[in-house]
Amino acid sequence: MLFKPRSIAVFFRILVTALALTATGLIVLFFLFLVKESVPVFQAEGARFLTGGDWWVGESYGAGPMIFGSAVVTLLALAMVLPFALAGAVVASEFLSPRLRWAMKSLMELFAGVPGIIYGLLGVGVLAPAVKDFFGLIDGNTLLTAALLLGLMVFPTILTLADDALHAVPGKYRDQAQGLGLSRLETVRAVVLPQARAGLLGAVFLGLGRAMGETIAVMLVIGGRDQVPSPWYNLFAPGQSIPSKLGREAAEAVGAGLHWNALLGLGLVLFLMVLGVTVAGQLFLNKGRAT
Amino acid sequence: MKRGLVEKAAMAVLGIMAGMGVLVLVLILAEVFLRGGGALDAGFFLEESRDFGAAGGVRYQITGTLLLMVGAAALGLPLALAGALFQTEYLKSPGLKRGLRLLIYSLNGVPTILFGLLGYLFFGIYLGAGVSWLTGVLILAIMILPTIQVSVQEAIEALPENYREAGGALGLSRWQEIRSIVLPHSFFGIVTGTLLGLARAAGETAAILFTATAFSGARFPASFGDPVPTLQTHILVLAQEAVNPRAIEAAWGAGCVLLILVFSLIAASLFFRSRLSMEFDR
Amino acid sequence: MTHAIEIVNARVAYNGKPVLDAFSTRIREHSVVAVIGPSGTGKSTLLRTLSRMNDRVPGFRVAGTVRIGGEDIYAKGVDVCRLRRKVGMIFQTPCMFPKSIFENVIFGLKHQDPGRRKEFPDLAEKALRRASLWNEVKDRMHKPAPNLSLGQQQRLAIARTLAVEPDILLLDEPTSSLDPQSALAIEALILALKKDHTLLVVTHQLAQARRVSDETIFMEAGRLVEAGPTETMFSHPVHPATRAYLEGARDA
Ligand SMILES: Nc1ncnc2c1ncn2[C@@H]1O[C@H](COP(=O)(O)OP(=O)(O)OP(=O)(O)O)[C@@H](O)[C@H]1O
Ligand SMILES: [Mg+2]
Repeated sequence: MLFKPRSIAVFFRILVTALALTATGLIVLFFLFLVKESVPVFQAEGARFLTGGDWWVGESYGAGPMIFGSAVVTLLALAMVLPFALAGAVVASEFLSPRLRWAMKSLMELFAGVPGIIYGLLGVGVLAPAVKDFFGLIDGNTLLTAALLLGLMVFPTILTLADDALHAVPGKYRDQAQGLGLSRLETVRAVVLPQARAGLLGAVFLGLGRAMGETIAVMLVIGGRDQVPSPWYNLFAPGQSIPSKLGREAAEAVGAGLHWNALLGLGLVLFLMVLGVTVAGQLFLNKGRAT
Repeated sequence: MKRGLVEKAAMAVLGIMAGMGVLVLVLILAEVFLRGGGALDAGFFLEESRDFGAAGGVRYQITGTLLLMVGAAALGLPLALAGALFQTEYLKSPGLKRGLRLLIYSLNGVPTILFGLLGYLFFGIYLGAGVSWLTGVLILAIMILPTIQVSVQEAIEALPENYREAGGALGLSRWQEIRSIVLPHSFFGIVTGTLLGLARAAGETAAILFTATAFSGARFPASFGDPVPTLQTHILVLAQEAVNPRAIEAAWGAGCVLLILVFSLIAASLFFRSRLSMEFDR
Repeated sequence: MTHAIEIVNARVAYNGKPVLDAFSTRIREHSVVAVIGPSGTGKSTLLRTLSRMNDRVPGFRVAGTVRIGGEDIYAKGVDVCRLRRKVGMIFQTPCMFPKSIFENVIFGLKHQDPGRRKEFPDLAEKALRRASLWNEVKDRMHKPAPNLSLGQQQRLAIARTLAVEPDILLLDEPTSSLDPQSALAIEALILALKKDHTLLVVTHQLAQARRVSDETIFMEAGRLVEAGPTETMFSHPVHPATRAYLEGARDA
């Protein structure tokens, strides 16, 4: 009397499983493709692909300047924006009323969704000319311009995530610290920040991941020169990041031999960089949430 | 006394830094409306673009962007729902669950240009869809899948366990439980996720640039195999190449339209999310 | 004669940690059995084992035999949903779905017999009358259920379970979150339900166990220490541990 199979339930289960596995499979397949298609360039260039400084289509493919550009631009962007974003997070989480905090977070969420192309337009129309005039340059499209623009772009993301991390610290710790006579700011420094460290790191890493992958905005203001500037710390020189390189050349190279393989090789490097940073960020965030 | 003063000074510095960050962002985004607002008249929405953007409007760019994002959401939503339900309802192994979760969350961070590159390789070349609306929809659907799924999944996971137990104790099967308890209670999560996915698809440029769009010569697609013009590519091309001030103003105008579209979607998602969080704390 | 519930040498564990061990008992039809014992002894686990509510808890294992109405409920191919309709469960805090009172009463029914939609109003009334709630809610059937008082919610939860016509009702501390008045209402209800159902009631209130039950099971640390007619056990406990618990709990 207790036994009988049910067919809709079984059907639904199979449907859900099949769809979920299709999506997962497709994604995994994608990245297997990425590896497979970039093998030829590693065969042709070897380690020089990562370290070489010359990218001449048809002759040699060295990704050095792009890797350098990506690293410099994202790290610089982060360094510039972090103090402001963290200050914003502390203010939002510790000092604003719940309603104001909600308003601020909503605003940040809105800004975090602004498309890259809008920032690109602002970069071309406002930021690059401003950099050019301010520093007296011939051309406003530089590594610095790209870093500034990227900093603006990731500001809302980092602020919201950092605020979440701070807010996840239970109120009882604040009460305890203030009960011992610490001021509100001292409480933040002595109790809240250390407790939220994992979550804050998560926020920084996810922001970094986002900055690393941004294509369009960076492509429009970075200058597009495949060379490490000389001296290397000259931020007023044009450069190239991996995504901007991909954005510029993908259309012309599609499916065309080693050039295409080289671009996918760049894509693989980018993917691994971003994946490392994002996974680390996620793990930190989860750890922050668990405590 | 001194301590109070230091505290005040530090607070002021914090406040100023936070305020500056927000203010700069607000001002720079306001610039889009300042420069582009003038271009927005009825003709801008209704006419097609002429003279390399210097005349006419962005009618087909708007329809193109809408077509791409709606197609992507229509395809991405069922996949995301299935993914979320599979993980929360059917998958048993905690290890696999954690792995899949990490995969989905990490996918959210994968650079969109990579989706474009690989999606084109797979759908455009291997499956022969070429540079077309269809390729763009497929790529964007996969791109926004994690966005939607994360939102749906978080809503499902927020469902208090005792609701499920009450259902289970009444003899509901897993499928009935999903239909009558899980899905109704995560409704706002599904809406929120879909809106965020739409917003993401609407603003995406890199992934569709060389896979689904054309700057000139394209209008409303006659079939799945045609490319579409979009606001995003329109802005990109004009920003890079236009010299005519009228065309540049049109680029800012298109930027306004795009920004308004994306902001409305996100604002709606924020509204629905607040409904979601109210659901359980009566 | 088959028993309503029959447990033979059951061993129940979470992640390898045994919570019930060498547990055997039989429960007659149409009886009320109280389950008492210190906190964390496995009373809730016992109840949840009987309706397989723990199936989705990872690491949960059952060895031995558990029979309901003569059928082994952990045998392969058992339809858990049917089992749960036969064995209803009432929790400590009632869980109302954010819907109307009517929708809540017919919630299980609707999924069991969607074809009988026309009869739902009658069936709902019947279930609510049996749960002695009908007079209080008949004029507000389409108002949200979460607005009811906690005591009313608990009776609604019972009505909702009665509507799917279970043979057995498992009640896990059904009155511990209620005021004394509502608790008495539930106790009266338990006595009335005995005519058609077998009831297993976990409680920490010994006086309550004494008022409602025919038999009592005393358990400690996952083992059944003593079981028998309630009056006998309360007046002449055999096992020293039982005596200690009954006395200690009385003093407290
Ligand atoms: N999901 C679970 N996972 C792991 N251990 C559990 C789980 N549920 C219960 N336990 C453990 O099983 C033991 C028995 O728990 P149970 O809830 O059955 O006790 P109880 O007798 O109902 O207690 P109380 O009177 O406090 O309700 C406890 O040690 C508890 O920690
Ligand atoms: Mg219990």
